[in-house]
Amino acid sequence: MLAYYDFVYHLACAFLGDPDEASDAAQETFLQAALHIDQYECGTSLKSWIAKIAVNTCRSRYRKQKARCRLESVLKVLSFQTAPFTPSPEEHAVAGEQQRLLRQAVDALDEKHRLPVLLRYVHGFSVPEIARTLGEKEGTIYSRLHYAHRKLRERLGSQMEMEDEEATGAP
Amino acid sequence: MSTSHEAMQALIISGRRLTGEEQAALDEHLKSCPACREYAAFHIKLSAQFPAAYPQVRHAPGEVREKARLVQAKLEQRRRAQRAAQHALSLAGAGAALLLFLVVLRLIPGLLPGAPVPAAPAQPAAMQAAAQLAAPLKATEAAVEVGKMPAASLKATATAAGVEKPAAAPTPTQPEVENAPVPAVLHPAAEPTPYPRAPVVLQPAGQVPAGDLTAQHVRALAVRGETVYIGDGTRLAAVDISEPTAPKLLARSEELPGEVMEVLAIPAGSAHRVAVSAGRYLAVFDPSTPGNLELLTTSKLPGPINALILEIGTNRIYAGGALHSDETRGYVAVLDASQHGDLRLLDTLELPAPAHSLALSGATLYAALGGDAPEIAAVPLNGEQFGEPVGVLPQRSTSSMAAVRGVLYLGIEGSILAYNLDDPLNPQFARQIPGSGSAPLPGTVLGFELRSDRIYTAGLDSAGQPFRLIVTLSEPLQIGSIVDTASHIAVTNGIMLVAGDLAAGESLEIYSILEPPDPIPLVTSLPDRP
Repeated sequence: MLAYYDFVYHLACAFLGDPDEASDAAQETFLQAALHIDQYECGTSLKSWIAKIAVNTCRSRYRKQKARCRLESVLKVLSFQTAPFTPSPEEHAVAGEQQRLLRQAVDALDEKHRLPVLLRYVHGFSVPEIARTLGEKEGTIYSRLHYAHRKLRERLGSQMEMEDEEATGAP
Repeated sequence: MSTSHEAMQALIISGRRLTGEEQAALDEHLKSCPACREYAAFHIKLSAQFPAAYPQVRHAPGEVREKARLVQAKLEQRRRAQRAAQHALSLAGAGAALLLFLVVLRLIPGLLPGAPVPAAPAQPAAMQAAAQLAAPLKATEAAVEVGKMPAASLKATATAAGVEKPAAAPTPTQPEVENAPVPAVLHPAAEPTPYPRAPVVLQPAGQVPAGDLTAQHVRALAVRGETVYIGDGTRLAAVDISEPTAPKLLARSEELPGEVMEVLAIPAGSAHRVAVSAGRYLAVFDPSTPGNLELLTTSKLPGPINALILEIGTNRIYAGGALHSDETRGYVAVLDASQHGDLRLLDTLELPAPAHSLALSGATLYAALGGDAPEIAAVPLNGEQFGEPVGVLPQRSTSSMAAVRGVLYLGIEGSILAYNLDDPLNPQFARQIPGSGSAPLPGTVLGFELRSDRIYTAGLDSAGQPFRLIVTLSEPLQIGSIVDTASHIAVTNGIMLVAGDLAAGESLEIYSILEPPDPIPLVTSLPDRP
């Protein structure tokens, strides 16, 4: 089961955006998987089953994280302090401006649109697999992906076109 | 099919393999639709940019092991907490029972031999006294861990807690309960049990009625839910084992072009399909219609099939056997069975000798080769293609083989050998089962199934007599739920099934696995009051 550790960590990292949180979420995922291994239906995809647990764990942590962030921002306003920006190791790894913009655009999506995008483009899940993992209908996932696609295009389209023009040497 | 923009964009973004018809429709649509071309171009750009924006972090094996250790520690912690909660619950139950008993004794003193009948208004005071009596007793119980504290200290604790006080100074209205016997309290046994458990017993459960099966021998089986699929000569048969003592034949397939030697149940959502080997053909059936095994498709392989194994998750089937053109040589083949009613041959590879058994571990397929120089060969898997085979265990023959969680198990004469597959092309001998201190198995292991801390085995002894044994290991195998196996034995819901080609004269053997009774609880008496 731990062969999927990197996969779960990657998923958690993409969703939570914090390596420490992701590491805790990955551990929690495997703990839950071990506690509920009797619920795994032998013969079905173990990866999908673990992904489902990981997504639920991340969702729960994300909500707590959001509540914490809200509290922190309130405290910051109250104390007139601004925390210094310290890029995470993940952010160090993402050097390119384009990647940074892409992450920003994805982060701006709400949870229900962000998760299918991450599963589709980061982890290569097909739409039926995403539907199974999130417990939604395939049609719902298609609809969310189309919406997310449109939003990403609105946010990134002009920038991507500019880069394309630079790459082709167009004026 | 619909060629609307929505339908075409759904195909672009779906991520699944498109059918020929879908691909053709999409290609045609894209030629004439700039909007969908732009959609596809943006999709391709996103596909290229996401991996760089969200780089995959690869943890070192040591780091993952450390995480595994942490998870294991947390798991143990939670289980201990659960056990403690259960223990506390049973103690509370016992305390409540004791309290009730004492209340009843005080209310109905006639039950107590030699006890005087109390005065009429005794009830409230008796209840009060019982409560007084019970409180320190419960505190004592909570403080005492059964079997760890000697009786003397138990008594001292009880005295210190003031157990005797109500009896020593009875109120005028209280019933006299001096010298009343305190009942023994049953506590659940602490873990681990201090004495060995009784062995697991296999009891023949039932037989498929004579005449229901056409062939003398059943040569393969696969279980799905409460149905076992068996090779009945040149047919596939489905048998209901929901009532193991009275198995019922559900359906039998049409005749196939060869004897059914291997059967696999292929999961497909809530439904499933069944793949069987029949000579050199691989056939797939749909068993969803009650009473009918519908043949969906067949695929012709390079020679008679000896072994079949399913890759769980991808639904790829690996087949091994002897070449039709040269029976001294062998082959392995991989087929995609993920699409309903379709069986696509992805690759085949020739081997120097016939393959008798297969096992799969990660991206390596292991084939047990027969012939004059038996050996175990490892075939690296590059996606849907085979890599170059490597002989990894020369001079090692085996009758049955399984790979589970990075360990390769080989059934041989008298034991099962386990090899560590940390380096897939260089298996390292890890252990022999049963170990050197235990008696060997009575003969050659022809089939086995691994489950938790047990190995269910079926084989033949040196006199040609069949044996069925369960080897209980001192250390669990830690195998999780996925078992990749190519043997003719299956374990499900307290039933062990053995395909009858191992025991002459019988077809399908069904056993009930009789678990030993729960350990006898320890009995601890609380000290008698003076």
